[in-house]
Amino acid sequence: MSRKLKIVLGLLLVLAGFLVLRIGLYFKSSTNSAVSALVKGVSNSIDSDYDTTFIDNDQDGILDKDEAYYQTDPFNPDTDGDGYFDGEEIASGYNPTKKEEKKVSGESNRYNVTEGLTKRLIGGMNAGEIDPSKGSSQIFSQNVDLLTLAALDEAVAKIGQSTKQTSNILLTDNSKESQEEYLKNISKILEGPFLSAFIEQPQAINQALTSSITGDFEQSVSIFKNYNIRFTEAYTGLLTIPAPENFAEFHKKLLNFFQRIATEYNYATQIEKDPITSLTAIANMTRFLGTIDISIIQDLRMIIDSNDLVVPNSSLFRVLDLLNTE
Amino acid sequence: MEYNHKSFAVAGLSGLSLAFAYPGWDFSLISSSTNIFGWIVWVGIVPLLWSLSKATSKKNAFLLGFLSGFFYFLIIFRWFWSLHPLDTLGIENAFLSILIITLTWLISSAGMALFWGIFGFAYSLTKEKIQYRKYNILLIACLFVICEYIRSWGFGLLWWGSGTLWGPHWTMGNLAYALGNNPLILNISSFVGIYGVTFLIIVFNLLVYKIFFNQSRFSKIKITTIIVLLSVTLAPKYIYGVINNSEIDKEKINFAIIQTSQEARLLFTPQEVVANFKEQLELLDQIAKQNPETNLVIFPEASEFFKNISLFLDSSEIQNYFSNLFNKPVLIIAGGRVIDPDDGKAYSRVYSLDTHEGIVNYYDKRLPVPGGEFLPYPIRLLTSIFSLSDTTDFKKTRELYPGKKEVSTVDFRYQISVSPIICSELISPNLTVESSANSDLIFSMASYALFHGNETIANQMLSVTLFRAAETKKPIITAVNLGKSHVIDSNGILVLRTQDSSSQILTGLLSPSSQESWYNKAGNTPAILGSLLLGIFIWFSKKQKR
Repeated sequence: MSRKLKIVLGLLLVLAGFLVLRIGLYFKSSTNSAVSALVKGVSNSIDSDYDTTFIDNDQDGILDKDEAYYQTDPFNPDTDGDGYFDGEEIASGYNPTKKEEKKVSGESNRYNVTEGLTKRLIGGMNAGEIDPSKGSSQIFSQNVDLLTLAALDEAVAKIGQSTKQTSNILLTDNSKESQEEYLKNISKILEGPFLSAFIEQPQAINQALTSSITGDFEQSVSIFKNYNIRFTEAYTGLLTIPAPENFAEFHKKLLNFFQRIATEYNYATQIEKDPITSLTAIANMTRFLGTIDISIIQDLRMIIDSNDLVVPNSSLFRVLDLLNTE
Repeated sequence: MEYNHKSFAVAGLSGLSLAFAYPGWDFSLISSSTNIFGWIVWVGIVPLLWSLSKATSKKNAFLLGFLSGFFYFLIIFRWFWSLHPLDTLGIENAFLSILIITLTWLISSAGMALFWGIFGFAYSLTKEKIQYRKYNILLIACLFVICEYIRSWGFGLLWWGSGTLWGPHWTMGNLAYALGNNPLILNISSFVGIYGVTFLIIVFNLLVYKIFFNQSRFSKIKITTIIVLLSVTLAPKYIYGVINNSEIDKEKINFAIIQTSQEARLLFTPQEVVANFKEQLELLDQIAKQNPETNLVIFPEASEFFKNISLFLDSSEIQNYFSNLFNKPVLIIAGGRVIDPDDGKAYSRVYSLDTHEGIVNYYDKRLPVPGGEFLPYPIRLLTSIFSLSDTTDFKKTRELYPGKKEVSTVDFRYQISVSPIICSELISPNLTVESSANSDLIFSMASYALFHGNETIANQMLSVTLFRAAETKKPIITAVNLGKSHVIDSNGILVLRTQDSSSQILTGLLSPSSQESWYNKAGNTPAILGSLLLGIFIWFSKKQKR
C-alpha cells in the first residue's frame, strides 16, 4: 500500500469517526425518547390500546369524557385553583369545582415521617438517651428499633387515614339489559387498569426503585405519578358508570380497590422527601398486588352466574371461563 | 503487494456457493426437504483451495480466506435484518435501528471470517513449508477443523458481555450443518460430532481439488477415499438403512406442543397479556379434549404461562384446574423471565410441573444471546454514545444472566427422563450434551419473535437441532413461538413439523431413547484433539522425496 493511499485512508477513517459521532448525537434525542417511552409506556399503553375515549388530556385523573359529568375543565387539572388535582379531590370525597378546607390524600397529612424520625433520633442522641457509647449496644439497638417501629406505625396510619370507603354511587335499574350493559362498561376497566395493577406492578415498582437508588428521583416519581393518575382515572371513571342494584356492592368494592391503589401510588411519589412513608406504601402494594384480587372476580362471576347474564366478548371473561374449576 | 483479482473473485465464489449450501433458504416450493442444496458443501471449498494455491504471500492467503468467509457469513447471517425494526429492544428510530443492525451484521460476519482468514494463512504455511510431505490433505483438514473450533469461542469473545458464557458454544456457520438432511452424516456425528463431519467435508473438497487442479496421480488410497466419500454423499439413505436396522420397539410417550404466534414487545399491555394467556389456555384445553392421554406438554420460550396462571389462581386452585383438565398426571413445561430473589439477577427460567406434585425442577438458560438478552460491551460502548440511560433501561427490561445449573433432568413418574434446553443453547454441542445427561428425551423451547418470525434463522436452527439429536442419540421436541414447532427422532430425522407458524397444537407419539452415543461420552475431544495431534504429527513428519 502506497504512503499516499495510507494517508487518504487515515483521513477517511477520521472523517468516518466524526460522522458516527455526529449521527450518534443526532439520534441521541430520539433514543432518549424511546427510553422514556419504555418507562412511561406502561401507563400510556393502557389508554391508547383499549379505547380512544380513555384519554385524560390534562392528566388530572379524570378522563376527558368524564370531565363534563364532574363539570370540571378538561384542559385544566385544577379547575377550582386550590392546588389539588380534580381527580385527587374526587377520590378524596371533595368537590373539584369549589375551594374548600381540604384534606386530600397524600397531601392531607403534611407531617414528614422520615424527618420526624430523624429529629427524634438526633434529639435522643443529644439528650443522651440514645447513645451508642453509653450502656450496652443491645439497649442502643432496642431504642433505635422502637423509634423506627413508631415511625412505621405513623406511616401506616398516615396512609390509612387517606382511604375512605366509597358510599355514594350511581344506581340504575336491575333489568337484564342494564346488567349486561354494565358488564360491557366495566370489562374495559377490568382488562385495563384493574389487570395492569397486578401485571405491571412488579416491573413498575422495580423500575422506580432502581431509578431512586441511582439517584434519579425525577424518573422514579414520574413512574409513581403516572400510575397514580391512571388509577385515579379508573376511579373517577367508575363513579360515572351507573351500577344495577345487583352489582352495587361489587361496584363499591372495585371503587375502593382503585381508591386504595391510587392513594398508595400517591404516597409512593414521596420517595425523595419522605422515603419511610413512600416505602411503606410500596410495601403495602407489593403485598396487596401480588396476586389478582380473586374475590372481586369471584363476586363478579357469582352475579353473572346467578342472573344468567351474557358476558361480553373479552379475553378476561374467556380466561375466567377456562380457569373455572367448578 | 500483488493482488490477483481472479483469485479473489474465485475465493468470493467459494463463500457464495457455501452460503447457498448452508440451510436457511426456502425451497418449500420445489422440495419438502429442508436443504436440498446442502451437497454443494462437498465441493464448495474447492474454489477457495484453488485461490489459496495461487496466493502470492501469507498475507494474500489470509485475505483470500477472509474474503471467502466474509461473503459466506454475510449471507448466512442475513437474518440479522429480520431484527429490524428494533422497537422490540427499545430502539424506535428506524435509521438508528438500521445503523445498529448494519454494524452488528458486518462486525459479526467479519469477526467470523477472521478465522477463515487464519485458515488461509495456515494453508499458505503448509504450502511453503511442507509442500512435499505425505498426507498434506489431512493436515489442511486438521487446520480447518481447529480454526472452526476456535471460531466457536470467537463469537463469544467478539460479543463479550456480562451474560457471556465462555466456551466453544457458537457453532453457527459450521459447514456440517449443511448436511442436516443426510442421515448417514447425522449418524457419523453421533461418533465424532460436527467437527468430525467438518473434517470429512474438507478432506473430500481437497481430494476433488487434487483431482481436478493438481498434477498428482490417482493413487489407490485416493480412489478408495473418493469412493467411500461419494457413497457417504450420494447414497446416504441406503447406507443409513443398513446401519439402523436394529430399531426396537420402545414404549412411546404422548407429547403435545403448544405453538403460539405472539409478537415481541418491550412491554406487554395488560390486554395483550390476557389475550396471550387466553390463547394458551384455549390450546391447552384443546390438547386435553383431543388428546387426553398426553403425558407431556411443552410451551414455547418465554411463554410466561405459569406466571400468568398464578396471577389468577393460587397453588391449590392451580392443582384443581389441572386435575379437571387431565385425568392423569401430566408434565407441563413452560418458562419465562424470572428475577431470582437470592441474587436479584434476571434469568430465562423453565419450570417443569407435575400436575399432581407441583413444580418438580427448574432450569435457567445458560447461553443468553448477545444483543437480545444481554448487551455486549462493544454495543454498550456504542449505545453510550447515543444515550447514557439506554443501557440501564435495557438491563431493567431484557437483560439475562447465564444460569448456573448444568443439569435439570426431570424423572417423570419413572416413565421418562426429560432434559430442558432453551433456544440458542442448541447451537452449543457441549451444552446440549451436558444438559441431556441421563435423559431419554430433550425438550427445547424457542421463540423467533425478536426476528419477527424469520424463516431463515428458524431453518438454520432446525438443521442445528437435527445434529444435536443425532449427536446425543436423543429425540428432541421443540415448541416454538412465531415459528414452526418440530419433533426430531434419536437419529436426527425430522418426524413431525407444523405446516406454518400460526398458533396451534402439535401432538403425537415419540420413542424416548436411553442410549448414550459415543459423542455423549467423549464430546468434541476426539475430533479436536485428534486433529491437533494429527496436524502436529504430519507437520513434523519427514519430508517426502520428490
